[in-house]
Amino acid sequence: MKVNADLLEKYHHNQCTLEERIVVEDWLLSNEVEELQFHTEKDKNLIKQSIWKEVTTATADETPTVKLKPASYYMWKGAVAATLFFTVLGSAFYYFKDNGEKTVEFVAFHNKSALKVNHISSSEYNLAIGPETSAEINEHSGVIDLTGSILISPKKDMELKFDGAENKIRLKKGQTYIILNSKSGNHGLIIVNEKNLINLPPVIQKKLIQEFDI
Amino acid sequence: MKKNIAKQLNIIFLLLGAMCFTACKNSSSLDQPQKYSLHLIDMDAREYIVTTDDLDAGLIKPEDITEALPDSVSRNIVVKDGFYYSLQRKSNILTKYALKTHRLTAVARLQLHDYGEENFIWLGKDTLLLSGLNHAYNKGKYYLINVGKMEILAQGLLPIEKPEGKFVSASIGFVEKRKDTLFVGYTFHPPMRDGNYTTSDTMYISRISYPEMKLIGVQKETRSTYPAGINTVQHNEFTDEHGDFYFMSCPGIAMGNRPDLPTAIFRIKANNTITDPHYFFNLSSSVIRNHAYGLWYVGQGKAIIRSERKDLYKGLSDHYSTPHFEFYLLDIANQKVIKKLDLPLDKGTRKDCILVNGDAVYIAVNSTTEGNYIWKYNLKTDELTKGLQLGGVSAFIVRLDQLSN
Repeated sequence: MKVNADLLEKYHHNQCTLEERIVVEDWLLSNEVEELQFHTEKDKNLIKQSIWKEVTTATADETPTVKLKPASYYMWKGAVAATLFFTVLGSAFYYFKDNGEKTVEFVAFHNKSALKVNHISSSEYNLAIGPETSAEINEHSGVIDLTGSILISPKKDMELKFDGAENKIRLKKGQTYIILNSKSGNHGLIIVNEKNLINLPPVIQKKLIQEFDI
Repeated sequence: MKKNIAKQLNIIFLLLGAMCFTACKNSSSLDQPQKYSLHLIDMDAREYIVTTDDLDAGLIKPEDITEALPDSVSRNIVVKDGFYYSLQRKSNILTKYALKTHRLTAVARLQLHDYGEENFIWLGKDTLLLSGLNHAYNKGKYYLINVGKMEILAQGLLPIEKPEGKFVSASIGFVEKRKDTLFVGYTFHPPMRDGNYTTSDTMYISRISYPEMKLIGVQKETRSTYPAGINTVQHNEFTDEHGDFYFMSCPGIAMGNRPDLPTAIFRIKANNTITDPHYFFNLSSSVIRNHAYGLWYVGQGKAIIRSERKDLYKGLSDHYSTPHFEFYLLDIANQKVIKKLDLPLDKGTRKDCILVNGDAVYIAVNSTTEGNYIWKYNLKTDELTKGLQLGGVSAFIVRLDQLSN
C-alpha cells in the first residue's frame, strides 16, 4: 500500500482501517522519507522525540479512536498533469504537539521549485508556499524563520512571531495575508493583507500575482 | 485553496451580475452625483467611497453613510462625471459603477482579455484610452473605450519595446496625447530573485501615431529611471497651460528601487518630441534630499510633490504605516523648490490625494497626531487651513477625486 494524498486525507478524518493507519504512521515516522528538510541533526532528533512521545501516548491508551489531534499533510501541485513528472519539488513535514489550546502545526517546509507553488491545508489555516521558499519554526520560541513568500488564510485568529519582527503578528480568521521575507534581498519582512496588495511596489505585486495566481 | 478562490469568484460574479441586473432595471434611481469623491481605507483593509459637496468643513464617518466596498473594487479606479470605472484583475472585466443610496452599484460591464492596467488617459468626454500590459507583463496592450456605451472602439498591441536580455517585464509609467501622437513612457525589470526587485537604468519614451497606433520613434533617457507610475493609483505627470508635458521619475524603494538614481522631473516641451536636455529638476539633490512619489500641477506654474523621509521609516515593511510624507510646493518652470507646506506628516505609500479647484488646493492628510483632514491651501494668500474631517473608522484617505462639476 502506498501513502498518497487520499490516504492521508482519510487518516486526517479518522477513516483509516487499522492496516492503513499503521502504514500511514510508519510512513510518517520512517527515516527513509528523502525530502524532509532539517537544518541540523539536533532539530531532527527533537522532532523525532516529540513525535514518538505523541505516538506512545496514543498507543498506550489502547482505545480504537486515534487520540492524536487531527493533522493533515498533503500538497497538490496545481492542476497541470505535467507536474506529476517533476521530481518532488517541495516537501512539507508536520508534527503536532498537544499543549492545550495552542497547536503548533509545522516544523519546516521547503519549496525548492523555481516556479511552482505548494498548497497545504490544515485545521488552522490554508497555506500556499511560493517558489524557492523555506520556513522553519523554532519549537521552543515559536519564532518562524521565513525566506521567500507565503500566502496564508487562517481558519481562526492566530498570532505568529517572525524572525526579524519585533512584535507578534495578529492574523484574522477569513482574511488572506501575504508574507514575504528576504535575508539577502532589499525588502525585509513584509506582511500585507491580500486586499492591500496594491500598497506594495508594482514589481513585487506583479510577481506575487503571477506566483500565487491571485 | 484554489477551490475556495474559485468559489469566492463565483460568488463575486453572481453578486456583480445581480448588482448589474438591479442597477440596469432601475438606473433612474441613481444618486445625483456630488462634487467630490473620497476613497478611504480602514485599519482592517476595508475600503469605502464617500462623496460630499463641501471639502471646507464638516465631519464624515464612512461607516455611518455606506458599507465597505466588495473585495473586487479597489482604489485603482478611474473617476469621471459621476461614474467610477474599475478593472477587476482576475476576470479582466471593466465595470462602470455609479452610487445608489451611497452604495457603489454596477451599471455596465465590458470584458477585456489578457490585460493588466498600468495607465489611463481621457481622449474625449466619453473616450478612455487604457494602456497596460499582458498578464506576462512583457507586451504593451491598449483598449480605446467609449464609456457612454461601454464598448470597445479599438484594441491591440501597443508598439513599445519589449524586455530583452536580463529584463523580463515592463512598467508603463505615462501616456500623453498630443494631436496625432501618443508619448508612452516605460522601463524594464529583471526577474525578482531572492527578494530583490529592481529596474533598468534606462527609461524609454515611444512615440506612436494616433489613431493608427504605429511606432514613430523611441527615445532612451538615462538621467534617471522608472518614469511616473500606475496613474490609476497616483499621478506623477501633467501638462501645463503651455502644453508642456512634465513627468517625474520614481526610482525610490516604493517604485523602481534604484535609490542610487535621483527622483527628478523631466519635460517634453509642447513644440518638441523628446525630453528637454536642458531641463532636469533633480529633487533628490535639492533641499528635499529624498525620493518622492506623487506629482500634481496646481496651476500658475506651480506643482506639489509628496516626498518621503528616509530617516523616519525603516524599510518597505513600514513605508505604508509610518507617517513620513511631506508636501513641497515647486516652481516648475524654474526648477526651484518654493517651500515645504506646513502640514503634519502624512502616511500611506502612494495616494492620489490632491485636488485643485481655482485658487484652492485640497490636500488629504492622514496624521497620527492631528487626525485625518482635507487641508486647503490657498495659492493666492498662501494660507493653509483645516477643512473636512474624516472620522470613524477612516485610517487612510487614498483618493480625492472630482466626481462631478
